[in-house]
Parts: sequence; C-alpha cells; structure tokens
Amino acid sequence: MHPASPRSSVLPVFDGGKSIAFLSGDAEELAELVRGLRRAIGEVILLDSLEQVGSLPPASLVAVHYDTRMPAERARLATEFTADGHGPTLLLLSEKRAKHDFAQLFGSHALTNMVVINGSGVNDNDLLVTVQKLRNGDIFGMRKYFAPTVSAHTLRVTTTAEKNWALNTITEFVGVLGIPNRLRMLIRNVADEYLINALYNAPVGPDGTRLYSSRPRTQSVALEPGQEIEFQFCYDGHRFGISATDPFGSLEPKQVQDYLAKGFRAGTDQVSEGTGGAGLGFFQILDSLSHLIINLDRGVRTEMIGLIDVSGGYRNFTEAGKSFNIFVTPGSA
Amino acid sequence: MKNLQWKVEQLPDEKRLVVLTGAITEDADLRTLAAMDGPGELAFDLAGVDQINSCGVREWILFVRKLADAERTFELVRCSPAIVRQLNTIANFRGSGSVRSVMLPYYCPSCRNEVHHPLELGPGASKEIPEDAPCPKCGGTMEFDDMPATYGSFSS
Repeated sequence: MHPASPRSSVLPVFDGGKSIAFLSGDAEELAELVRGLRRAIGEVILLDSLEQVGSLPPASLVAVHYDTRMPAERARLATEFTADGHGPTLLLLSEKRAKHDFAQLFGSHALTNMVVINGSGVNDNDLLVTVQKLRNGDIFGMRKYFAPTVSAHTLRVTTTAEKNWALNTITEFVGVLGIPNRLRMLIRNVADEYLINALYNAPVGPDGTRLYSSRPRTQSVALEPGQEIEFQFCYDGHRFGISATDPFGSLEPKQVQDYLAKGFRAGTDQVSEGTGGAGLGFFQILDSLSHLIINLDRGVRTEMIGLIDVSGGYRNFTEAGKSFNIFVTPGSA
Repeated sequence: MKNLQWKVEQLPDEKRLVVLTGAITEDADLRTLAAMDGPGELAFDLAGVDQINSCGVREWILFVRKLADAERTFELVRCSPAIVRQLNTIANFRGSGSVRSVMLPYYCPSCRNEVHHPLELGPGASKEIPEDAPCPKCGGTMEFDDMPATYGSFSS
C-alpha cells in the first residue's frame, strides 16, 4: 500500500470499453504518464494491489510497473493474467527487471505486452500506440511508430533468391547511415530471421498444413502468386524499423511465447535439431531488437515489426530494456 | 555479407589454426571442416565471424558436437563480439572446447570509429576488461561497447 498515492477507493463504473488500470509502486513517478493517458484515451484508474484486478471488466488493460513490485507479486502476475483472452490484458512497464524473468513470463503465456521504462520515463508515443492498438483493434502498420515524414522502403519477396536480394538491399541501405557495425549486423540478422520465418514457417495450405516448415533452409522456396511477402524498412535518425508481412496469418501467440521461453531458459532443448528451423529465430530476434511487435489477423496476415535504437553504440542498445507486443485483430478466427 | 570461409594454418607445435571469416548461416557447410583429419589440437580463430543466425547456431552446435564425438581437442581463440553473444546466450555453444581469448569491442563516440582488442582468458590472464582505449583515428577516448559485467559471463 502507498497511502500517498492518489487512488480510487471505489472502482469506477465502466462503459464496456477498454479502460486502463494502473498498478504502480510509485504513482508520483508515473503521474505525468497517467495524466497523458487520461488526456489521450479517457479513464485511467489506479490500483493498490493485484487483488483488485479480479474486479475489473474483462476488457480492461492493466498496466503494471513491474520493477516496483515485490518478488511475490511479480511471480503472481503469471497466474493472475491468462492468455486465453477472457480476462484483463496485462501491460508490463519495466526497465530491466523483466528481462531477468523472461523465461517465466513468456512460459506462463501471460506476457503479451511490455513497454520499456527508463530513467526518463516511458516513450510516450510507443505507450500511446500500444494502448490505442489494444483499444481500437487497428493494429497493422510500422508507420504508427514513426513520424509521418519518415518514408519506408518497400520490397516484395516471394523466393529464397529474393530474400538474399532483400538482405543485400537493406545491408547497402544501412551501410551509408553511419550506424555502428554491430548494430548494422543486428539489423541484418533480424531481417534475415523475419524473411526466413515468412518464407518457410508462415505458408500454410487450405487445410492449415504448414507447407515448408520442415524443409531445410538451404533448399529454395517459391511462393505462389498473391502470397508475396511485403518487406519494409525505414530510419528516422534515431531508430531503425524493419517489418515483414505475410498473407497467411498462421503464427500463434503461444508459439512465439513458447519459443521465447525455451530460448531464455537455455536448457538442453534450446536448439531444435530437426531438418527445418532451429527454433531460435524469435529468441534471436528479440535479443537483437529494442522493440518487437507482432500483429496477427488469424488466417489473413501476420506482420512482424522490429525497432532498433541506433542513436548510440551497441552498449547503449544493450543496456536498455526491451519492449514487446503481440496484437491480435479482435474476433479473428 | 560474406558466406563463411576458412583457411588452415599449421602451427609449430603440431597445432592447427583454422581462421574463419564471414557469416555462419544455414549455408555454412561445417561438415567438411568437422571431417578434417590429421593429428594435433585445433584452434579456431573466430575474430572474423561477424554474424550468426539461428540456423547458423544449430550448424555450429552440431559441428562442435562432431568434434567432441571424434575426441578432437579444440579451443576457440579471438572470439568476435558476435560469437561472444552466442556464448553468453546459447547453452553449450562452445561444446567441449575451451575459450582462450575474446575480442573486446570499443566505440569512439567522437568519430564513431570501431576497433576490437584481444583479451586473453587463459590461466594467469587478468581477464579484466579496460573501460576505455585511445582512438587510433581521432585520438579521443573509445569506450568499451558492451556490458563489462556480463560480456565474459560465459566463462564464469
């Protein structure tokens, strides 16, 4: 309990929309943030403890300042929030603490949204975009994370050979931007993993059978007309953005969470030794990004977006926390 | 991006040094390297490996396992930051091999120059990571461009 915090003693009546509840150890620290959210989206309430989550309408979004919670309460988050879409949605705000608990947080399937918070607070735009996407269901598009003046480059990829062409194109593009070499390698690595995933793992037949997931990645794939992957990248002088959109919508959030949990557990099952992928792609992707966003419209399309802070050196990048989102179009099958 | 290449150098003490450069990906055919016969210990110089993707990690894991199955003694030397990153996050990335030295990345915030300096990890080595180094390009101070507390955590 934090008696100095301005909290509601009685939960307000909701209008059936997705209201925001804030659970923070230090409301003063987040006062400006809460005011900003109130201005942008309306009702924001403050909670004293996780006990109150049960009183919230299922459509609520509960933002938790993870680093300020006690260990027992952090552990409870995994059980308090289910991934079946029937309860409030958890939005973690964390600087670094959550990184140490990724194996547990992803393994429980509770973690679908996390926005990094640091000494200067939360990136207001990223938080607003996250909240708006959760409330409105308008989830697709990398441009939401950049100013309107930033233009994106778009490539269409349908074959393994075109994947290599796209990788060479992005490598040439970042080569003239003055981005440190190690960060350029991360960008290329993410682009590589995105395109491998879209070419080999995403394609499914009419019955949902995966077409190429067990095919060795040394063998070529050629997608059918109309199945092309849209590959985009852009740069605003501070962040680099990459996205790959496939027209299958076959990625399941639980799959992603399980792969990430397996990666962070670093056990004997960390690397898959079958003929297809190594099962490490998402782990390598998240490790290489400042912000991983996955947008899914089941059976229609999957968009993977990656943002990398390239404003400083590699140390600046790796010292910072990570943001992560999985958005699913409401009502998608 | 260069595909993985290597050259083998015979060292005086019956040791062979295999210098690898480029990216370790699904296209890296490490089977021929694992099948390399002949006596003596192997040392893999990894300073020139600048990228490794998820399929490349698996190729590498299978490679070091084959070396262990063949009872080959080997060590990893001058591991690039890209390799150190995998050593720190992938279980058993080094297999039965030992890591003798790593490359430390330095970044100059003034002129954006990047250089790598070797750090010995063998017995008796200090293993201490200098926080800064002089920039050979502008004369400024380069900063260690990673987390000093965790960069060598694979060896603890």
